Amino acid sequence: MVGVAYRGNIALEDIKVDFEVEPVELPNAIGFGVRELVTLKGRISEPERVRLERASRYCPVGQALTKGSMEIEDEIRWSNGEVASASPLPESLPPLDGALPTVPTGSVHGRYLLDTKEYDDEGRMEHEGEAKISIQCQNLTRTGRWTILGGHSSEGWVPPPFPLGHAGWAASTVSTLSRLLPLGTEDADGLSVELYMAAGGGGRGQSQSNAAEGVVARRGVTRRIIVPGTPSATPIEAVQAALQRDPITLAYLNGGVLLNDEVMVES
Amino acid sequence: MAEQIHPNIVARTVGKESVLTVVGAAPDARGPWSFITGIPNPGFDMVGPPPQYLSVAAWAA
Repeated sequence: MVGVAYRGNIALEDIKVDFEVEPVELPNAIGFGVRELVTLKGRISEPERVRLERASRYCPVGQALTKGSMEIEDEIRWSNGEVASASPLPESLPPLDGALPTVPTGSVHGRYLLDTKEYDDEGRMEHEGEAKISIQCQNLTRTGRWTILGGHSSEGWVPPPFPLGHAGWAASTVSTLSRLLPLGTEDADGLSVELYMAAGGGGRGQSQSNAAEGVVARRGVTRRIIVPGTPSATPIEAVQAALQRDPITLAYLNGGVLLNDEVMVES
Repeated sequence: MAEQIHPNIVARTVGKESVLTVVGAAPDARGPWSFITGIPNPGFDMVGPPPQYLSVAAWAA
């Protein structure tokens, strides 16, 4: 949104975002939903607020989670060397013995680090800078709290948002497969996921244009799943069925994570 | 993917209740940035946020 504001000459002085995260019941799966509140600071007109509201909904990560914009190609590799394409995922879901844990209730708060903006010699913004993200959610014996950084910087101190979002997807895939596939304790250590992100899409400038205009941009990604054992021990149908139950995969395929959103201005 | 040797992102289990994810895993990419996420379970506190929270954090960023 900082980039969209800069390109649109919107006098955005500061920004913060608050997400409430909650579990959502889905047929045969565990889902999650978010309620988003974006607070803008500056002399921002109503048309400018609407433009920034659209940017929030159509940023690459937001599109992936709410618009089903990802085009996923799945490949399975068993540790015995056999390989198979798992796309498209079938609609029928064979039963699996394992169970997925509920997504715990919690919140995510993003604060913009204003002094991390970077400008070139002529005063043009080169990098939007970084955000400090505070995560809080239910844990077993106490509230869990973590802080991470993300954004855009020339030195690459922090991960850009879109790869960071995919990191959550890769981790979610591994978590789901480890719970639902019939892997032994030792075999589970051999389970991994690799993501190959297609180049292109026009880069950050194009993403900001899409966000400002409300354009859904399809993005391709290949997900390689490395499964211990053989196809006879862990059949492709079981892997596909587990993938169909993964919360973030479901969001990437169907969207719908956003339960409610609001963008307000503080002058 | 056929032309791309190294993945951009790699995730693997660490024990039974955690996942290690590396962003920028390719040798010529920026990074690496490593994250531990937790899997909710009845036996232990998670040592990192659940994966869904990492994706929402990216949205916030």
